Formats: sequence, structure tokens, C-alpha cells
Amino acid sequence: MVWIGEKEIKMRRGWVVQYKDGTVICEDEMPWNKVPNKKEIRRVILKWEDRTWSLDDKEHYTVPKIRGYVDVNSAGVANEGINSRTIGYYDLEEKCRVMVRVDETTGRMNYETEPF
Amino acid sequence: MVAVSRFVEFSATGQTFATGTSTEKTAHGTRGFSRGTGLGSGNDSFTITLNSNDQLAVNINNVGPETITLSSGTDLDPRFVARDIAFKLHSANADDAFKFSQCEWRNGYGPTSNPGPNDQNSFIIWSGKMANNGGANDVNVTSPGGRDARATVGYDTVDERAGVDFATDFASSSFTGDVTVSGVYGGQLDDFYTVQISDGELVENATPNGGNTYTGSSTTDGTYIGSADDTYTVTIDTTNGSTMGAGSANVPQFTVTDTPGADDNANPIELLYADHYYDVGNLGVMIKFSDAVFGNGDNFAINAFVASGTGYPKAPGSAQYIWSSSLGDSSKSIGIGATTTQNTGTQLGTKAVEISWSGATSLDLEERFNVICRGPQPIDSDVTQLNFGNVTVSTNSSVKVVWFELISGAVSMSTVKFSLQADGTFQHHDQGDNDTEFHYGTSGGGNPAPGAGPTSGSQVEFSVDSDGLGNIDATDIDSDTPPSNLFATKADLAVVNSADNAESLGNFQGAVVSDFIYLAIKLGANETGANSTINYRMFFDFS
Repeated sequence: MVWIGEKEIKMRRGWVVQYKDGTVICEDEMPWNKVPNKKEIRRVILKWEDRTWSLDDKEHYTVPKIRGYVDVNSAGVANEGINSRTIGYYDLEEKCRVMVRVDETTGRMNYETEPF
Repeated sequence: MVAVSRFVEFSATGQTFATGTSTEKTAHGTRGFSRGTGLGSGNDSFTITLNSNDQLAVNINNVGPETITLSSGTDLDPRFVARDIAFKLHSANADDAFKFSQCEWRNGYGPTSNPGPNDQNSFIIWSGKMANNGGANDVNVTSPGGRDARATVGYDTVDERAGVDFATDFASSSFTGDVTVSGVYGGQLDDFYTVQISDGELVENATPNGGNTYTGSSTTDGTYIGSADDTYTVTIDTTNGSTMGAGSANVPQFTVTDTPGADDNANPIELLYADHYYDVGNLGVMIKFSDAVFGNGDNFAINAFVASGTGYPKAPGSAQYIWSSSLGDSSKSIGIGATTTQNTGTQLGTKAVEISWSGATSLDLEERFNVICRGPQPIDSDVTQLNFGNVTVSTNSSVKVVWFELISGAVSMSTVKFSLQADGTFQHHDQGDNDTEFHYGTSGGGNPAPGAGPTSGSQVEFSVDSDGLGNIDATDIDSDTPPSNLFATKADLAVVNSADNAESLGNFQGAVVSDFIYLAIKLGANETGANSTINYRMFFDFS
């Protein structure tokens, strides 16, 4: 059981944001581009089962990403899935995006950086 | 997965078009349009419900009205909705007004002489023909009856303008001859080119203020149509957000001032997407930004110039021209400068289109000519199955062509890859015995092929027969060395299980549609059986 602030996070995997006033919004509630007042976000958290990784008090968070896959085949059987998820922030001093990537299958986390 | 995706199928022999169709002479005048002005802040995704709010009735240049049915879905991406509207209009009526109509999600009017008051992000439907036609060449979006989508996509209020005739589009004109548009467009997406008579480029690169926080790259383009030189200043406001992609009401905005001109815009425009062109004022200047953090008050200066040259008017053969397109294909972007007008076709764009001028006449500075380009039309817009049909051993199947797109739940796509995930019941793939091969090729707006044309910056995104390179058939993708009309090929995809080993695909300007994927199967000599099943897998990052 994972709690963020006063909210139990029932979603198995995905991002969670917590605002400065304690309000919590999860990925299964709305897409990222509908999350309001992003300048008031205090933490962005990535949840994978009962594990969480949190980026706290960053000035500029990146849009969370998913690395996914979709199949097309000769039998017409659609299949799709997720390989990994990321949250991150912009590091203005280093001019890069710092990303936390969590493998969807193993829950293993890696840090990655992307210059901008 | 939150994002909704789909495969879209095209014909390998699909047609593309480049046309100067006009109610005057070819390439004369500007297009009419209708902008839906009913959207407000926060309207950057659209929920269209089947049989409920999924239709528009559209009349263009007094043709129609034709009722089109939009693809339904929740929180659809506006760039997808615009593409969907355009595809539906193309097939709604064979008249040029529909056949070459376009729909864009953009903030400005682009290079027209009749800017209107609303310059927020919104949908614009453009007439497929140019010029005024007595005021008739406009676009009217009306009620289709009970399944009205107008309020959903902002067409409950509209700004409709007829096109402008050639002679009234600028201060003076001298050209009385004819224009010919030739070649077959090799682009993936619809585009609109403007040619302007000038010896020099009209829009300089942006100059960032030295104190800016923003450290990404800005790119300018467009055809400036002002009557005097002007300097624009684009100023960023980060009250709502500092980075693009965060959704309406959470992204940076910009306003525009200019001096000494009067093409300012104090109404904030949201920078919703990275690598997406935004109009600066209403006189044709555009700017786009790569993904990085803006600081409040960051500003960028852009010098714009009127057409320049001496000794004008000049006859074809002496007068020069520059060109640019809505998607940023321009003489500026490829750095070739002005081209001399000719009686035989010379370069317009990088995708095999040419333009020529004829008649005992002269061309004057600022005179502009417009060309509409149409990419291929899909044959199936929600593909769940790729059936190669009956294939004989030791021969190739026909070629299947698809692109992959996200239609909702994401604002950008990157690291797009394609693979053969399973070779199913085939028995002679990679067995060293006259094997079955799974051919693959790609090209498109993200990774165009170099093409074979003599023109500068020549590129092919979708290969069509008339460009001299032929359509793509199976023999074009049966080698690991691509022909000039494909970016990359693989004679035989191996079965792989991870994105690391998959084939890289492009996607234009980081948008949510991939380049074309060409697929075929060559059955090995020893292959037997029927209804063999294989599985292709698309890998992609989305956010």
C-alpha cells in the first residue's frame, strides 16, 4: 500500500504529482497535458508496484514519458504494452534533462540525462 | 497505455499533387479560409463521439455543402484532428476546392493579406483554390444536422475570408503571363508554398537576447509580405509555464511587438508544442523552438525585409525568386538564396515540384505565386491487420505501406522504432535454405530520402511514379542498401525482442506521426503451408 500525502495510490504503476498544498493527482486520473497548475507542483513521483521514486522541489519538471510498443500483424490480433516509464526535470545549470527511468517488467531504475 | 495509437495504410501507388489551381490564372491569388474562433484557453484536445458530435458540413467556393464524419475518440490531439479533417475533405468532393483543401491547427493566418482579429491556436480550413472569385472562394462550415461537431472544434463562431486576387494582393503588379506548376510532390504531408519575386531572403534568423534563460534553438522561416522592412520582437511570458508540451494553460506564451511596422500582437499565444511553427504577426514570419526552459521576458528579435533587387520589373529569365512553405521547406532553410525565373521549370521546394513563367511580360518585386501540395491519401485509417494475400514461393508479395500515429494522450513522440517481433509459422526464415525474407524500408518527413533530382536539398518523403524514381515495389526494399527514394532498407528483418535492436524510424518535427514504413515478404523456396502469421512491433517513446 502506497500513500502520497493523504491519498492512497491504488494505481499499480505510473506518475503521481503532489502540489504544494498537498493535493495529489495520479496518471490514471488524467493525461499530463490536463494536469492543472503545474507551476504549483512540489513533487513528481514514479510508482511501480510498492516502490516509488520522487523528484522533489524541482523548478521545471519534464513531461513524463512512456516507452511503449504496439503490434500489427497478419492475423489482426492487436497487442500493446509498456517497456518503461520516466519522470524528470530540466537542469538549467547542466543544460540537460535528468530522467528517472523504471523498467516496466523488473522495476529496475536508471538515471538518464539528455542535453537540450 | 494511456495514449491511443493506430496504424494508417496507404497505397504504394498512391497519388500526390502539386497544383496552382485558382479561380484566376494558375498560382495566382491567395486561398480563402474559415477559422473556427470558438475555442478558449484549455482547448488543446477534443472529444468527438461517434454518431453524436462527429460531423461538419462544409461548403468551399460554392461547392457543397459536403458532410464529413470525423474520427471519434477522447481527448484527440488537434494536429491529428486537423489531418483527419483534411483527409475527409479531400475525398468528399472531386472538385479542386475540396480535393486540394487543407486543414491546419495554427495560431496565425500565414502569408495572406487579410489577417483577422483572432490569432489564438485554432483550426483553419483552407479552400483548395486560390483567388477571390467574386467573394465566393471562401469556406463555410455549417450545421450537418444532428451530429454537429462545430462547437467541439471551435466552429460555433467563425472568421471566414475569401481568397484575394493576384492584382490586389500587393501594391503593384506587372505580371500578365502564365505560370506552370509541374512535377509530382514527393512530400508526406500537405503543404503550401509561396513564391515571392526577390533577389534576397526576407526573414532573418532570430537573435536571442543575451540575457535569455532559454538555451534551446529557435528557427525562423516564412515569406514576409509587409510593405516595409520590420523588426519583430517575440517576448515570452512564463506566467502559466516555462516549458512546452505541458498542455494548454500550463505552457509559455508569447506576444509580438514590431518596429517600425504595425504587425504587433499583444494577445498571448500559447507555445503548446516544441518544434512546431508559430506565426509571428500576420505577415508571414514564423518561428519554432526546440524543447528547453524559457525564462520570463526572454525575447527574440527577427528582422524581416521587403523583396529586394534592382532593375525591376524584369522578364522571366532575369527576375529572381525565393520560396517557403507552411511546413518550413524554404530556400532559406536549405541556404540556396534566390533562383532565376525561367520559362522551363525550376525548383520550388525540395520535393520534386517545379515552377515556370511564360509570356511576353515582366515580374515585379513582391509579386507572389502560391502552390498547394497534397500528400498521399490513406486507404485505411485504422489498420489492425496486414494481410499480404497469396504469395508464391521464391517471389515477393506486394508492398504494404503504413504510418503509425498517436491520436490522443500524448503531445510528442520520439525514439520511434520498428521490428519483426515474431516470424510465426514460417519455417524457412534465417535457415540458410533459400530463406523467406521480410523486407522493410522507410522514408518520410522525419527521415527523407535524398532523391535523385538535380535540385538543391532534393528529398523524397513519399515516392511517386512521376518523380522519375518510380513507386516503391518489393525489389526496392530487398537490399540493405536503400535506393535514392528511400531513407533506409533492410532486406530481411531479423526477429528481435527489444527496441535496442529494432530499426529506427523518423517522425516529422517531433509530431505524433511516423515516417512511412514499407513492408513485403519474399517466400523462401522451401516454404510450405498457408495462413502463416507474423508480428511486427512498433516501439516508441511518447509524452
